[in-house]
Amino acid sequence: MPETLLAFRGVTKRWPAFQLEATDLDLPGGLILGLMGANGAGKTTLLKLLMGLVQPDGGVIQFKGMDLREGGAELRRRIAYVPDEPRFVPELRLRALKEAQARFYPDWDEARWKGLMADFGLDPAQKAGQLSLGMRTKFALSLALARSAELLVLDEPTTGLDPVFRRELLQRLSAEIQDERRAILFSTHITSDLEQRVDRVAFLRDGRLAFCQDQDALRDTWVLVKGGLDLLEPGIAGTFRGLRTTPFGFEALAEDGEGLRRRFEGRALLERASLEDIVVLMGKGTAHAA
Amino acid sequence: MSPALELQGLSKRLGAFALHRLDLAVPQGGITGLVGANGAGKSTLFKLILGLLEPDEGILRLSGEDLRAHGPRLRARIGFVQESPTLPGQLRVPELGRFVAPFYPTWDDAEFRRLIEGFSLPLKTSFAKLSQGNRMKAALSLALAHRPDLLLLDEPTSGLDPLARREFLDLLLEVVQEEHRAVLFSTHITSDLDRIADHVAFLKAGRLVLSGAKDDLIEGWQVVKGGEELLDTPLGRAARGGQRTDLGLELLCPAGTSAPPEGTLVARPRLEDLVYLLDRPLEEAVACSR
Amino acid sequence: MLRSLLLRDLALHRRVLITAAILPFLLLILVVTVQGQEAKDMATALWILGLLVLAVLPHSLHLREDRLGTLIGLLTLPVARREVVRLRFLEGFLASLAFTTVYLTAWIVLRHPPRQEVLELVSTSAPLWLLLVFMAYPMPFVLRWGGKGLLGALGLLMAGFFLYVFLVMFGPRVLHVTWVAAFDGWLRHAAFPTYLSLGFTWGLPLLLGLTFYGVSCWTLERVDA
Repeated sequence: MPETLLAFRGVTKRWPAFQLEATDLDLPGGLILGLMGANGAGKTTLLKLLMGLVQPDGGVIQFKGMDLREGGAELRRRIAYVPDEPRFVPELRLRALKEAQARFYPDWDEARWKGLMADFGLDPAQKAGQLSLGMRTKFALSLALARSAELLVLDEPTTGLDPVFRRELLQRLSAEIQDERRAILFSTHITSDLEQRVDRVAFLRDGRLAFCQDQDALRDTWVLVKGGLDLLEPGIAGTFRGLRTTPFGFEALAEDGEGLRRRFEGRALLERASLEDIVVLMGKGTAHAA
Repeated sequence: MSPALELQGLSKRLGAFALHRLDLAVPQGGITGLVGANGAGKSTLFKLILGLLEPDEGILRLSGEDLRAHGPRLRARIGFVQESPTLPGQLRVPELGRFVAPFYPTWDDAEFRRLIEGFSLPLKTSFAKLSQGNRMKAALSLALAHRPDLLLLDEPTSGLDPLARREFLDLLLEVVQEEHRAVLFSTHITSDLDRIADHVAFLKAGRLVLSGAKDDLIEGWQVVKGGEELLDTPLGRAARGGQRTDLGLELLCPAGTSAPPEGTLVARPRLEDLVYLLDRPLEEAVACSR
Repeated sequence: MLRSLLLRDLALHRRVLITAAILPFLLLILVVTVQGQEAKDMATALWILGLLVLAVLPHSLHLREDRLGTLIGLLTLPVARREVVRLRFLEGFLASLAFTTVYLTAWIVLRHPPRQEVLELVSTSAPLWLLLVFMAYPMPFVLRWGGKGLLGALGLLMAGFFLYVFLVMFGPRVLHVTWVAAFDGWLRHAAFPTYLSLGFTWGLPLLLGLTFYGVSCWTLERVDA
């Protein structure tokens, strides 16, 4: 069992309009953890807490057993971060921007950076102001991947990027963690990206961690139930973790597949829920059914 | 019936980049999805349709009429929604309607009010303070309220979370069906197109490499997974692209070429597989393994 | 680390820094054109003006990072936030020092002022006070509230100044407070012994400057970016 690289213990952040409630999270080495959740559910806040950009009101974040708040600056050397929509000084060339940043990292690998830039189709002589959002993300990724950080923290690195690049990026990321000493935490809205090479999925809803499960466990746990409206007997909403009704029928998310199979006896269609089903239906909750 | 939008041999050169003789028909009453890598020419194509760029050669027709000759009149019949709408942020949704209305002779205020009510948009919140999902819905209502023949959507879902995205797509399906409109929809999230598109066009380096009805496209191809020996079968020789994975070869082949040899897995491609695997050189993959 | 941070700023804010470096030369041209009796007063006034502009240089750099969105990049570097505050104070200090050196040297070379004048200029604590009032004091406000913080801090300063002037001028008559006028008289005529006076002109700004440095560190360590 690889050692735990990153642990959140009861991490809490309160703002007037938003709260992240006591969050516990574990990330062992050799794993890719995908973070999902609606806009405003707290994904970016969680990653910013980890990077020390936002100060927690309670709880501890540990990196290899060390408190990130105490060892913050030194530990950040071993973590690489790509923010949501990264921004750079527009009049500078990418080479100069790299120069200004590389100096802080003893493990900076110049040859590797050049290779990444070529793979991503970026020219070091370009000025940052000429880059589109997708290209800026690629540049930020090149800076993050050019050193051998033990933890990669990526905030929506795939937004605005095309499917081919996204798939190649995920392949690259999964190659990074093969030695089981490094791990990756990234947030995304694109559930189909998570279904490929991501080992564990965490889902945030309204500032709470709704679940954090391995991909295989997820597949075994959740079922999608589809059926006619007549099946929605009073009280049944309690067994669903999310429900969506249309004039023609309903679609619901449930954990207890066996129980429902017996209850509906073939009158409803039960199938394995995809990640997208889980996220969409759980995001909706059962409020509509009440 | 003439298509809502028709391109014939449309070309445009912009420095090192060029759109090469595009032929495309966007039929009425359906959603056409436009996919392609960053920089493949999607934005350039939209700019040509919107008259922000002049084509070097080729024909552009809107419902059979020449868009280049009658630009200003015809363009009032196009509705356009951008990823990040540029609208005055301090205005509330009803005020936005009054702001945009004078630009369109066919503006229908009753329709606008019906739309914003149907989308359950908050009426007293300024545009800048709306959630991203609601901002896109507001932009969609503005684009629909002048009853356009053609709706152009430029990556409308890229900033949305899965829940907001599905809601947006469902609304889009509804408004297309009820009014028999044509939609041209660019996106990086191919699973959205799996869900709602009737037709798909695939741009690659300024060329249209694939276009047609989505179902025909998907049925016209198969993804074959197997060992190295696949390369020496007729199926392997017919492959139009492929990649090497941890499990072996993954090839994209035209459907019905020949029966797959024993021990291979055959699957219908998702759009993403098509986009990813088509024209991915096999030689490269082979060279990698040796 | 401070060195890496300085080099980072030199690269990222090259434009701002070049503009700031041109300033002494522009002021020198002005000084050279003025002749006669006013020359000395003019030279002092322009020197003070230059220092004032440079005292807010650290703030302009910080606000620029905020505006360009690169602050997140700065704060995620493997550097403690205290170091970032140290960087800003150092930048203000170095800029003022460099400017004073260049400006005074040029002035002496070009105008050959009397020895007495040079000594007066060199030994004044005015630059220190300017740095205190315009760099150190607003710093926590800038770190916490950005551009609005800078305006607020300077507004507060102006309000305090006017209140003081009001109390000195009208206090005794309108509000019947007499101690303010007495304090002001004491302050102006330096009715204290030399060692106290030295402490007042040099020690006090240094002490206050260190206090604001501490407050700035405390503030930045608690800011959410």
